Amino acid sequence: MSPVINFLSDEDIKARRDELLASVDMSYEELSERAAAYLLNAEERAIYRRLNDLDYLAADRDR
Amino acid sequence: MAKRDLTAEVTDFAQELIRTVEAVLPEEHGFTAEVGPSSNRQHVIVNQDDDKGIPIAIGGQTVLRLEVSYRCEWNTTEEYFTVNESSFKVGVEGVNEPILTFDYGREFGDTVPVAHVNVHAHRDELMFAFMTAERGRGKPRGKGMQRGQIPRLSKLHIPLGGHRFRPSLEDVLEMLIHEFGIDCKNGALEALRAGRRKFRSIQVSAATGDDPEAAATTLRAMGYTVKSPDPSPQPKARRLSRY
Repeated sequence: MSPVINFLSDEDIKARRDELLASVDMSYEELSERAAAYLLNAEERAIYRRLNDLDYLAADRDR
Repeated sequence: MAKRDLTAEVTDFAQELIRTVEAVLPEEHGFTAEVGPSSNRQHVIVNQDDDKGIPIAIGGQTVLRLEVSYRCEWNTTEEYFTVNESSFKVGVEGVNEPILTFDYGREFGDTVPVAHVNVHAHRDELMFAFMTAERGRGKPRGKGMQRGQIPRLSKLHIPLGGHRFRPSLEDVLEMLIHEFGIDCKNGALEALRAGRRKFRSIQVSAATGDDPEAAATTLRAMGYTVKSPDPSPQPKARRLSRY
Protein backbone atom coordinates (compact mmCIF):
# COMPACT_ATOMS: atom_id res chain seq x y z
CA MET A 1 0.00 0.00 0.00
CA SER A 2 1.31 3.46 -0.88
CA PRO A 3 0.66 6.63 1.11
CA VAL A 4 -1.55 9.39 -0.28
CA ILE A 5 -0.04 12.87 -0.34
CA ASN A 6 -2.22 15.95 -0.75
CA PHE A 7 -0.80 19.42 -1.32
CA LEU A 8 -3.05 22.15 0.09
CA SER A 9 -3.07 25.85 -0.75
CA ASP A 10 -4.27 28.55 1.68
CA GLU A 11 -7.58 28.56 -0.22
CA ASP A 12 -7.93 24.76 0.10
CA ILE A 13 -7.31 25.01 3.84
CA LYS A 14 -9.91 27.71 4.29
CA ALA A 15 -12.50 25.85 2.20
CA ARG A 16 -11.91 22.60 4.12
CA ARG A 17 -12.11 24.39 7.44
CA ASP A 18 -15.45 25.99 6.52
CA GLU A 19 -16.75 22.65 5.24
CA LEU A 20 -15.77 20.82 8.45
CA LEU A 21 -17.32 23.45 10.73
CA ALA A 22 -20.50 23.39 8.65
CA SER A 23 -20.70 19.61 9.13
CA VAL A 24 -20.98 19.89 12.93
CA ASP A 25 -23.59 21.87 14.79
CA MET A 26 -20.96 23.57 16.97
CA SER A 27 -18.51 26.45 16.83
CA TYR A 28 -14.79 25.71 17.04
CA GLU A 29 -14.81 27.00 20.65
CA GLU A 30 -17.62 24.62 21.61
CA LEU A 31 -15.81 21.72 19.94
CA SER A 32 -12.66 22.67 21.80
CA GLU A 33 -14.41 22.81 25.19
CA ARG A 34 -16.12 19.47 24.62
CA ALA A 35 -12.86 17.92 23.40
CA ALA A 36 -11.10 18.98 26.62
CA ALA A 37 -13.81 17.20 28.63
CA TYR A 38 -13.72 14.10 26.34
CA LEU A 39 -17.35 14.66 25.36
CA LEU A 40 -16.87 14.36 21.60
CA ASN A 41 -17.90 11.16 19.82
CA ALA A 42 -15.53 9.54 17.32
CA GLU A 43 -16.83 11.53 14.32
CA GLU A 44 -16.71 14.86 16.15
CA ARG A 45 -13.26 14.04 17.48
CA ALA A 46 -12.05 13.37 13.94
CA ILE A 47 -13.47 16.72 12.78
CA TYR A 48 -11.82 18.52 15.69
CA ARG A 49 -8.50 16.85 14.96
CA ARG A 50 -8.76 17.76 11.27
CA LEU A 51 -9.50 21.40 12.13
CA ASN A 52 -6.42 21.52 14.34
CA ASP A 53 -4.35 19.86 11.62
CA LEU A 54 -5.51 22.48 9.13
CA ASP A 55 -4.56 25.23 11.60
CA TYR A 56 -1.12 23.64 11.90
CA LEU A 57 -0.74 23.54 8.11
CA ALA A 58 -1.74 27.19 7.85
CA ALA A 59 0.25 28.39 10.88
CA ASP A 60 2.96 31.04 10.53
CA ARG A 61 5.78 29.13 8.94
CA ASP A 62 8.24 31.88 8.04
CA ARG A 63 9.88 32.20 11.44
CA MET B 1 24.91 14.79 -0.16
CA ALA B 2 22.21 14.35 -2.81
CA LYS B 3 19.62 17.12 -2.95
CA ARG B 4 16.61 16.14 -0.91
CA ASP B 5 13.05 16.60 -2.01
CA LEU B 6 9.93 17.26 0.07
CA THR B 7 7.69 14.79 -1.78
CA ALA B 8 10.29 12.02 -1.49
CA GLU B 9 10.85 12.72 2.21
CA VAL B 10 7.12 12.72 3.02
CA THR B 11 6.49 9.61 0.91
CA ASP B 12 9.34 7.72 2.63
CA PHE B 13 8.14 8.81 6.06
CA ALA B 14 4.51 7.76 5.50
CA GLN B 15 5.56 4.57 3.70
CA GLU B 16 7.65 3.60 6.71
CA LEU B 17 4.58 3.99 8.95
CA ILE B 18 2.50 1.81 6.61
CA ARG B 19 5.27 -0.80 6.58
CA THR B 20 5.50 -0.79 10.39
CA VAL B 21 1.76 -1.24 10.91
CA GLU B 22 1.51 -3.75 8.04
CA ALA B 23 4.24 -5.89 9.62
CA VAL B 24 2.24 -6.17 12.84
CA LEU B 25 -1.52 -6.09 12.20
CA PRO B 26 -3.46 -8.64 10.13
CA GLU B 27 -5.20 -5.98 7.98
CA GLU B 28 -3.60 -3.26 5.85
CA HIS B 29 -3.92 0.34 7.06
CA GLY B 30 -3.10 3.41 5.04
CA PHE B 31 -1.60 6.75 6.01
CA THR B 32 -2.23 10.10 4.35
CA ALA B 33 0.07 13.10 4.36
CA GLU B 34 -1.11 16.64 3.83
CA VAL B 35 1.36 19.31 2.88
CA GLY B 36 0.64 22.96 3.66
CA PRO B 37 1.32 25.97 1.46
CA SER B 38 4.85 26.67 0.38
CA SER B 39 7.06 28.66 2.77
CA ASN B 40 10.48 28.59 4.40
CA ARG B 41 9.21 26.01 6.83
CA GLN B 42 6.48 24.07 5.07
CA HIS B 43 4.18 22.23 7.47
CA VAL B 44 3.19 18.60 6.91
CA ILE B 45 0.77 16.35 8.80
CA VAL B 46 0.63 12.57 8.59
CA ASN B 47 -2.29 10.60 10.05
CA GLN B 48 -3.74 7.12 9.76
CA ASP B 49 -6.52 6.95 7.14
CA ASP B 50 -9.21 5.66 9.49
CA ASP B 51 -10.58 8.72 11.31
CA LYS B 52 -11.53 6.64 14.35
CA GLY B 53 -8.01 5.25 14.64
CA ILE B 54 -6.48 1.99 13.50
CA PRO B 55 -8.68 -0.88 14.73
CA ILE B 56 -6.77 -3.35 16.91
CA ALA B 57 -8.29 -6.75 17.51
CA ILE B 58 -7.95 -9.20 20.35
CA GLY B 59 -9.23 -12.66 19.52
CA GLY B 60 -10.62 -11.39 16.21
CA GLN B 61 -12.72 -8.62 17.75
CA THR B 62 -11.82 -4.92 17.56
CA VAL B 63 -11.18 -3.89 21.16
CA LEU B 64 -8.71 -1.01 20.85
CA ARG B 65 -8.09 1.92 18.51
CA LEU B 66 -4.70 3.45 17.83
CA GLU B 67 -4.52 7.03 16.59
CA VAL B 68 -1.20 7.96 15.03
CA SER B 69 -0.52 11.58 14.27
CA TYR B 70 2.62 13.43 13.18
CA ARG B 71 3.11 17.14 12.65
CA CYS B 72 6.24 17.73 10.67
CA GLU B 73 8.15 20.49 8.97
CA TRP B 74 10.16 20.74 5.77
CA ASN B 75 12.90 23.31 6.06
CA THR B 76 13.06 24.60 2.49
CA THR B 77 16.40 26.37 2.76
CA GLU B 78 18.32 23.73 4.68
CA GLU B 79 16.36 20.85 3.13
CA TYR B 80 15.63 18.71 6.13
CA PHE B 81 12.45 17.04 7.26
CA THR B 82 11.75 16.97 10.97
CA VAL B 83 8.99 15.87 13.36
CA ASN B 84 7.67 18.78 15.44
CA GLU B 85 5.01 16.76 17.25
CA SER B 86 3.91 13.15 17.41
CA SER B 87 0.96 11.64 19.22
CA PHE B 88 0.01 7.99 19.64
CA LYS B 89 -3.34 7.50 21.39
CA VAL B 90 -4.55 4.11 22.56
CA GLY B 91 -8.28 3.97 23.27
CA VAL B 92 -10.99 1.40 23.81
CA GLU B 93 -13.38 0.95 20.87
CA GLY B 94 -16.47 3.15 21.33
CA VAL B 95 -15.09 5.10 24.32
CA ASN B 96 -14.48 8.84 23.94
CA GLU B 97 -11.46 9.17 26.24
CA PRO B 98 -8.25 7.32 25.39
CA ILE B 99 -6.52 5.16 27.98
CA LEU B 100 -2.95 6.15 27.10
CA THR B 101 -1.40 8.92 25.03
CA PHE B 102 2.29 9.07 24.07
CA ASP B 103 3.13 12.62 23.04
CA TYR B 104 6.21 14.38 21.73
CA GLY B 105 6.26 18.11 21.14
CA ARG B 106 9.41 19.98 20.22
CA GLU B 107 7.86 23.26 21.36
CA PHE B 108 5.82 22.23 24.38
CA GLY B 109 5.99 24.84 27.17
CA ASP B 110 8.69 24.60 29.81
CA THR B 111 6.45 22.88 32.37
CA VAL B 112 5.52 19.99 30.06
CA PRO B 113 8.16 17.35 29.23
CA VAL B 114 8.85 17.31 25.48
CA ALA B 115 8.23 13.53 25.42
CA HIS B 116 5.67 12.16 27.86
CA VAL B 117 2.88 9.70 28.43
CA ASN B 118 -0.56 10.58 29.83
CA VAL B 119 -2.47 7.87 31.63
CA HIS B 120 -6.22 8.39 31.42
CA ALA B 121 -7.69 6.85 34.54
CA HIS B 122 -9.07 7.98 37.85
CA ARG B 123 -7.31 7.45 41.20
CA ASP B 124 -8.30 9.13 44.43
CA GLU B 125 -4.73 9.32 45.80
CA LEU B 126 -3.55 11.21 42.77
CA MET B 127 -6.49 13.57 42.91
CA PHE B 128 -5.50 14.33 46.50
CA ALA B 129 -1.95 15.08 45.38
CA PHE B 130 -3.25 17.32 42.61
CA MET B 131 -5.43 19.21 45.08
CA THR B 132 -2.44 19.85 47.35
CA ALA B 133 -0.44 21.09 44.33
CA GLU B 134 -2.11 24.45 44.76
CA ARG B 135 -0.26 24.88 48.05
CA GLY B 136 3.01 23.35 46.92
CA ARG B 137 5.38 23.33 43.98
CA GLY B 138 2.97 22.20 41.30
CA LYS B 139 2.08 25.77 40.50
CA PRO B 140 0.82 25.35 36.93
CA ARG B 141 -1.65 22.74 38.15
CA GLY B 142 -2.69 24.96 41.05
CA LYS B 143 -3.34 27.82 38.65
CA GLY B 144 -5.40 25.53 36.44
CA MET B 145 -7.54 24.59 39.41
CA GLN B 146 -8.02 28.23 40.31
CA ARG B 147 -9.37 28.71 36.76
CA GLY B 148 -11.90 25.98 37.49
CA GLN B 149 -10.16 23.11 35.66
CA ILE B 150 -10.97 19.73 37.14
CA PRO B 151 -7.79 17.77 38.01
CA ARG B 152 -7.53 14.54 36.01
CA LEU B 153 -4.96 11.77 36.08
CA SER B 154 -4.78 12.18 32.29
CA LYS B 155 -3.27 15.64 32.82
CA LEU B 156 -0.20 14.15 34.50
CA HIS B 157 2.72 14.27 32.03
CA ILE B 158 5.20 11.49 32.74
CA PRO B 159 8.56 12.35 31.09
CA LEU B 160 10.02 9.90 28.59
CA GLY B 161 13.56 10.94 27.78
CA GLY B 162 13.49 14.28 26.01
CA HIS B 163 13.92 15.12 22.35
CA ARG B 164 16.09 12.21 21.26
CA PHE B 165 15.17 9.22 23.39
CA ARG B 166 11.39 9.23 23.20
CA PRO B 167 9.34 6.10 22.40
CA SER B 168 8.61 5.33 18.77
CA LEU B 169 5.49 3.88 17.12
CA GLU B 170 7.29 0.52 17.28
CA ASP B 171 7.43 0.77 21.09
CA VAL B 172 3.71 1.45 21.35
CA LEU B 173 2.81 -1.44 19.01
CA GLU B 174 5.08 -3.86 20.89
CA MET B 175 3.57 -2.73 24.22
CA LEU B 176 0.10 -3.56 22.82
CA ILE B 177 1.33 -7.02 21.79
CA HIS B 178 2.87 -7.82 25.20
CA GLU B 179 0.36 -6.10 27.47
CA PHE B 180 -2.93 -6.67 25.64
CA GLY B 181 -2.18 -9.72 23.48
CA ILE B 182 -3.46 -8.01 20.33
CA ASP B 183 -3.80 -10.04 17.13
CA CYS B 184 -0.62 -9.65 15.10
CA LYS B 185 1.23 -11.25 12.23
CA ASN B 186 4.02 -13.80 12.52
CA GLY B 187 7.30 -11.92 12.44
CA ALA B 188 5.76 -8.75 13.90
CA LEU B 189 8.31 -8.50 16.72
CA GLU B 190 11.26 -8.91 14.33
CA ALA B 191 9.84 -6.15 12.10
CA LEU B 192 9.35 -3.89 15.12
CA ARG B 193 12.91 -4.52 16.29
CA ALA B 194 14.23 -3.59 12.83
CA GLY B 195 12.12 -0.43 12.76
CA ARG B 196 13.21 0.54 16.25
CA ARG B 197 16.87 -0.01 15.33
CA LYS B 198 16.44 2.37 12.40
CA PHE B 199 14.60 5.02 14.50
CA ARG B 200 17.20 4.90 17.27
CA SER B 201 20.10 5.12 14.81
CA ILE B 202 18.56 8.30 13.39
CA GLN B 203 18.10 9.65 16.94
CA VAL B 204 21.69 8.76 17.93
CA SER B 205 22.89 10.58 14.85
CA ALA B 206 20.82 13.64 15.80
CA ALA B 207 21.98 13.42 19.43
CA THR B 208 25.60 13.50 18.21
CA GLY B 209 24.86 16.94 16.80
CA ASP B 210 23.56 18.05 20.20
CA ASP B 211 26.96 17.43 21.83
CA PRO B 212 29.60 16.74 19.16
CA GLU B 213 32.57 16.87 21.58
CA ALA B 214 31.02 14.21 23.83
CA ALA B 215 30.46 12.04 20.75
CA ALA B 216 34.03 12.69 19.55
CA THR B 217 35.45 11.75 22.97
CA THR B 218 33.52 8.49 22.99
CA LEU B 219 34.62 7.67 19.44
CA ARG B 220 38.27 8.39 20.31
CA ALA B 221 37.97 6.09 23.34
CA MET B 222 36.70 3.42 20.95
CA GLY B 223 39.77 3.81 18.73
CA TYR B 224 38.41 6.11 16.03
CA THR B 225 40.51 9.03 14.83
CA VAL B 226 38.37 12.14 15.25
CA LYS B 227 39.71 15.66 14.68
CA SER B 228 37.72 18.44 16.31
CA PRO B 229 37.14 21.58 14.21
CA ASP B 230 38.55 24.87 15.48
CA PRO B 231 36.65 26.38 17.16
CA SER B 232 34.93 23.31 18.48
CA PRO B 233 31.10 23.53 18.37
CA GLN B 234 29.40 24.16 21.69
CA PRO B 235 26.92 21.60 23.02
CA LYS B 236 23.26 22.55 22.47
CA ALA B 237 22.57 23.27 26.13
CA ARG B 238 18.84 23.76 25.69
CA ARG B 239 18.41 20.44 23.86
CA LEU B 240 20.49 18.54 26.41
CA SER B 241 18.83 20.01 29.49
CA ARG B 242 15.22 20.22 28.26
CA TYR B 243 12.65 18.59 30.56
